[in-house]
Amino acid sequence: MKYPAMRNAAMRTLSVPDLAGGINTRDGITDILDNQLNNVKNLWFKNGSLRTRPAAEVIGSADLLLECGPQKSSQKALNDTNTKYINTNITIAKNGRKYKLSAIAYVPEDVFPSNVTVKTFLVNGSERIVLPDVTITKTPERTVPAIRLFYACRGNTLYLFNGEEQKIHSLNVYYPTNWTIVTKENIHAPQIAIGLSAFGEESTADKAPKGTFVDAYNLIGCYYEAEYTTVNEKLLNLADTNSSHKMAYYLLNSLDVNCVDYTISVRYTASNGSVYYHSATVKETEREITEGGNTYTVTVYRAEEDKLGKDGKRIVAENNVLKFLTSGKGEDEVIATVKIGDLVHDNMTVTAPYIHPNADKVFFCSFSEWFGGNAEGISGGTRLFLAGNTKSDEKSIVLWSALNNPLYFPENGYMYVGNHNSAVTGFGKQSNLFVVFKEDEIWAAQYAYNSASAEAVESQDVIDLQASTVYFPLKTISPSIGCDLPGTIQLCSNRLVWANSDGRIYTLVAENQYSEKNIYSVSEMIRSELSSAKLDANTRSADYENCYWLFSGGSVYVMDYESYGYRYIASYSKAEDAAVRIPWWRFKFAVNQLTDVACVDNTLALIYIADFKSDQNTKQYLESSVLNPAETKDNARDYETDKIKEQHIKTSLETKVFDFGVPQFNKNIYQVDLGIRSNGGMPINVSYMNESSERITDDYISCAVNADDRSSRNIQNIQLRPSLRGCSRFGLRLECEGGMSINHIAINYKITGGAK
Amino acid sequence: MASYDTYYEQIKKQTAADRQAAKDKSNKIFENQKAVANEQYTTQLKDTTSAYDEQYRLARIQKAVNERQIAENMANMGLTDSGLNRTQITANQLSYGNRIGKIDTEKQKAADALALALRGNITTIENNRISAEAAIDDKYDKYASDAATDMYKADVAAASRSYSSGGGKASRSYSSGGGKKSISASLSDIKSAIKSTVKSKDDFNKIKATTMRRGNVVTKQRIVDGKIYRTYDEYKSDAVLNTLGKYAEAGLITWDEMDTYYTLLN
Repeated sequence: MKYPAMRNAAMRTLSVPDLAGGINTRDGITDILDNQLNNVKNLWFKNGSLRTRPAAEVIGSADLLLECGPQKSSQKALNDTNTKYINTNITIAKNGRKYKLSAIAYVPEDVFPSNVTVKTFLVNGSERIVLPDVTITKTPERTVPAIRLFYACRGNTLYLFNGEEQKIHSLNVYYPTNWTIVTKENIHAPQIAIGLSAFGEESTADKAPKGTFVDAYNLIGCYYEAEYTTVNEKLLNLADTNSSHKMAYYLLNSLDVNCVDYTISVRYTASNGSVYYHSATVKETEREITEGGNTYTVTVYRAEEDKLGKDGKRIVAENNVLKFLTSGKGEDEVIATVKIGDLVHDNMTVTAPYIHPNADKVFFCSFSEWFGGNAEGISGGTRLFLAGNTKSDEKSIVLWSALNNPLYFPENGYMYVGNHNSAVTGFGKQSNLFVVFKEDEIWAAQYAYNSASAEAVESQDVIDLQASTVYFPLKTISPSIGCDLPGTIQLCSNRLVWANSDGRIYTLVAENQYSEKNIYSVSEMIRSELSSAKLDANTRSADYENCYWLFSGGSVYVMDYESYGYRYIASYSKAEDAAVRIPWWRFKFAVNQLTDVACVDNTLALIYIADFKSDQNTKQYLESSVLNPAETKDNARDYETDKIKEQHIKTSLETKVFDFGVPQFNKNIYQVDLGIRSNGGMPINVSYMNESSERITDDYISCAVNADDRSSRNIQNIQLRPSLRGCSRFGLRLECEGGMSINHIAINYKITGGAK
Repeated sequence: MASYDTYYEQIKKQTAADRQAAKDKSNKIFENQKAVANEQYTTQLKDTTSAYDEQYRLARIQKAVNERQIAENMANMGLTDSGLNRTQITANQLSYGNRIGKIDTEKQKAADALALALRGNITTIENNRISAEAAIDDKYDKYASDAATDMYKADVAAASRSYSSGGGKASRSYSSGGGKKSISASLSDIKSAIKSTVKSKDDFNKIKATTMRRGNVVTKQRIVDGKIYRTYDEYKSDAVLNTLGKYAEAGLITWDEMDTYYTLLN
């Protein structure tokens, strides 16, 4: 007799060869891809396995920023409301190494709350060079994060544009002894006009100077140059060699109250080849004049040289007239004369004061970037671009300097980009484009160069060679997507990536302004988390290990930009499909006040403010930690003992909750096979989860094989036997206080039937 | 009876002031012409200078344009502040110098051409002045010579008549015969001269109607007390009537005969 018997269900295996898919917080816990994770912390897929993030190792010695308490300043601790974390893209080459420039500005003493200390430092991996401090005085009502300053570097010289006091500080980065203030005389005085000549008699009806404008005034300058010919043939009887005219010349601008204490300098070449110099300082004097029987006192701005020069002349300038005198004073003054025999063309250069009224356009900017030129590459440039002007009516302005000269901003070298109401927030460079990010728009400019003919300049069709021959035509990239977090802009695999405070991270895939699909969101997998994260002006980013790193305080979101999803995102018909193929990872560092990150020479350093609190005092230090991929322990400084303490990195992951393709049937889970690489022997806590992501049971495993061998080439298969019966869905959670490296997962199960 | 030379010198002395006045007037005209030429030269020189001014200005502007262009091109080639850059900047400076030198040369050429033209003009004017002065001298010398000849002839004739009336028939016959012959010949000359000078009776009447003078005496009549009065123009032009009058004065013709000659003209 045969008895009916149940068929023995076949043993099945679900194998996930790698866990490279990253976190997916968008889709349901059972809907994500097999190689994606529902949760992950301090793990990323690198070199063929899911492994612990690089360790952060504190470097060098700490720099005390603030000490407060009963014995010290009662200044409250530094935080992001009284400290400005300055974001720059400046890298400086020094002694064969490249350094990222980073800076913070803070108020160290509340006794002088207007005194802001700007601490500048250069970081390369495990090296931090602290440059001398600069103290600036801020406007009392302005908060520290709102103070106006930005950096620029050219050659060996680092410039700090101090918008609060409208000063420029400079430092030789090779020999950084002291910051010096760039004097008015050392700010570039452009040669505004050439071909000017004498007018001879002051009674000449036509009071205007004649000549040709070739360059523009310097927005940040105090002086300009003009080139004259001392002899004007038109004023002479050329048939008579003894015919002469007075040495009187029009200045381009009248001397006024702004010119007081500035100097007029004259250099001219005589017909015998000798070069003569004269200079005089503008003074304010009062003079009595009688008109209609009444006597008035008028204020006169006059520069008068005291002594005769080697040429037997001295200069006097008043209003817009410069004269050479041979003797006498006041009404007895004798004006020097020149004859035809003295003629040397274009032989006199006059440097005269002109304080530009629009210096705010430059000094109120907050960031800079070099761009332009065909030989400068993606990181260089021939013009220093500025933006981020804090004046409400200049928010959309972008300015640029003259060729390779960060101390000359031609007054015509600027453009208002897009909507005047939205501020320019950042710059980026992609291929040959200079991308201008605004709060809600993106524009791009290109370098364009054409030459000007002398005839065009002569007819003054071209009046500013700097602005007319090199220009930057603009085009819209996006009229609706912008960037409000300038610290997040990175160029990743030739495409710009940036974040917005709405929790989206974008990439620019095409520079075609007419394409509606030129910007894609790449952050769909972590968007729900980013939306709730504190993404603010202090959010920073880095391009490290072929990943885009987004730092929000101690939380870090890392995107693998070598993934198919990122690289071919424009080829997918649905951006959602591409998004699941862009792996994102999530790290946590023990850093509260991250001020900056420095990624140079393939090293990544975190720069932050570290606290030490004792019973009496609170001390705050400037610290930096470098990431070390070979280590699985973070370390930190113990300020009490001044020793370095190691700390294991806490790692965890949650796999997909698998339904094995038949969610309606129960399954018996017999065995879980984990491919684990050596982690130094730290125990791994394994939990099993059901469809509710609830922990069903725990297991502990330890991969103690080759405890000293941290090489990822060793691998060990660990078999776990959960012996779970009748569950419809099954997932794993792994946690470890230390390094962890997972190669693969395989689950042996049987379908037992019985749809739920 | 005075000699011819005496008359000649006398008349020369009498006309010296007129001669100098005529010369001064002529010279003034030429001096004016010279002044105009000089003025034109000065103006043209100034215009030339102005024309080259633009070239100088363009050369300087070109230098400025080149400076910036070189800087930009060098930067675009990654050669900022390189040796080549310095070379190009120096080359631009040299090019500017060369351009200025070329303009200087051209300008000097133009000025030289103007000066040459001026010298030519001035020389021509001076030559003309000298010629005009010589013509004036010739004119006055001729007048003096003619007048002296006439006066001397008159003296000779008077002396001859005096001799004839006191000396006998033969002499008279000779004198009158010779005289008549001479007068006839002169009359023919006079007629043709008058014809060429006074074209019609109206013209003559016109002359008659004008104010005439002899020395300081002014009249409206041509002949008063046997003396011929002349218009100002006639003084100036040494008119034929003057000669006619002198003939009448000298008694070579009567005043009636003179009228006859006038009638003949009609």
